[in-house]
Amino acid sequence: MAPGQRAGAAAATESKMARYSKAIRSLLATSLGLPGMQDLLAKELPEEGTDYRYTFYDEDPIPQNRLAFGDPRRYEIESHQFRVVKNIDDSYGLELNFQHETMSGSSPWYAVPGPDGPLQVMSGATIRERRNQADAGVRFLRGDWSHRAAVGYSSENDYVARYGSYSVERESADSLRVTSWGVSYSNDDVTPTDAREFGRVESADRDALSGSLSVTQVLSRNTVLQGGVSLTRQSGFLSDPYKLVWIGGAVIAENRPDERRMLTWTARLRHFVEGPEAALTMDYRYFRDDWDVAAHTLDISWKQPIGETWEVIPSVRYHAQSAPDFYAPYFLSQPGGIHWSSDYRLGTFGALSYRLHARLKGEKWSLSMGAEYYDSDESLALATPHFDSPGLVSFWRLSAALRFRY
Amino acid sequence: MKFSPWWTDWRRLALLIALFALSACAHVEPWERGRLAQSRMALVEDPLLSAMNDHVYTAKEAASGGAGPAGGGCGCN
Repeated sequence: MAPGQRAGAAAATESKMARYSKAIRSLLATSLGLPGMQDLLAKELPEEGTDYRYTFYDEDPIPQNRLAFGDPRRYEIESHQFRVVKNIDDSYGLELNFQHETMSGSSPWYAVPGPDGPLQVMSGATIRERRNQADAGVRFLRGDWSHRAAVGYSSENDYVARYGSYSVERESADSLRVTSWGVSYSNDDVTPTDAREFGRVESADRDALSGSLSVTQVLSRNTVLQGGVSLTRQSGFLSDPYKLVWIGGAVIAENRPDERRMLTWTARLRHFVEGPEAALTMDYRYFRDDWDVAAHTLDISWKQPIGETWEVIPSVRYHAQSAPDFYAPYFLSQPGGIHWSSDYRLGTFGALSYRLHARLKGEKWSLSMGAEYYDSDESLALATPHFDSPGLVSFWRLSAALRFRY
Repeated sequence: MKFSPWWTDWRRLALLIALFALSACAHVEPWERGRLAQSRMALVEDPLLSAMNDHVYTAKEAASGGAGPAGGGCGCN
């Protein structure tokens, strides 16, 4: 380009810049880099900072008219999460995450026939345990490519997971599209408590290998869409060692297949609504597997700024799933196949979740508070449920979070 | 239902390809991307909240995945 042409192009750019807000001109002044787009596009490292989040999770007790025996009080979990992001230079960045949870309460074991439908049997003794999880990741940029590798470890008294992942993203020349590929692997050990006393498996392991592909596309100045697909293969001991099944009066351990192949399709939309200056977010996932589970999940949020410093985010999530053939709350006679489970989480049901978050933002920090109520029920299912599942859960979740940016 | 891998699920694959082929026609100049750069427009605005959401819902439902590379499991019951 000749110097005269260059000057003309610069003048045209200046003219366009003048039409935009001060904030956007400020962004343009920094070589057209858009700091908020590092999540969307691949040429930027994440913002440096430290995050802390506290969550209190509390399940509603099993109603007395659906309880056969056991402790009706269900799980309470307190969780502390920490995250640190530090960039070494313009090309390398580190991420560290740590999570500590304490859990207490009783858990559904199995269901028995009752006069008006299945009744839930809960574990009698209160379960108390802790879980610690740590993972570390490194991200590095090479031209239009961004790479991320991470390893992690999770430990509780009866379960250990070791996992790793690698993903790579490539940004298109016009910076309007990012294509991402990822693989992850997890190796988990299961060592149930009181195994001999209750006839549980004493030690077992399972593996999971997953691959994913996604494409993120800027559709307009207000809209971004991401589509993705992932495949996961789990193998090994995939049963829950604490779950039991009532079969013709006998109570035995559940027995799930030792392999599971899972498929997800996802679509994520972000749309800026010009009048209220709000963001509408919609996440949809279609899931199915070779156990005959199919599920639809839709999560919608409205992120509304109020003044310069506040933001309010109401959101709703709907999930509906169908049950595998080997699921029933109980079996009056020996099932035809070799697998059986009465774990309510495999049943046909739907769940609605309502959330409200509020966030106060400073220049380098933010404080947010949030609440969620989650309710699952057979009547919310899309498929016709064949059974009542008395163990279906409802819970409250309250959280508070602090974020600092360097 | 018989399981078949995603590449044989032609209808969804065709829909996805058509959607992105159409979207490729769009052109947004760099100076028009200010709104997209706002943090509330990020695909994952709060990684800790997203991780906690995945953890909770995966523990209580039969479906999982779709949120990027997976972490390890847990003995959640």
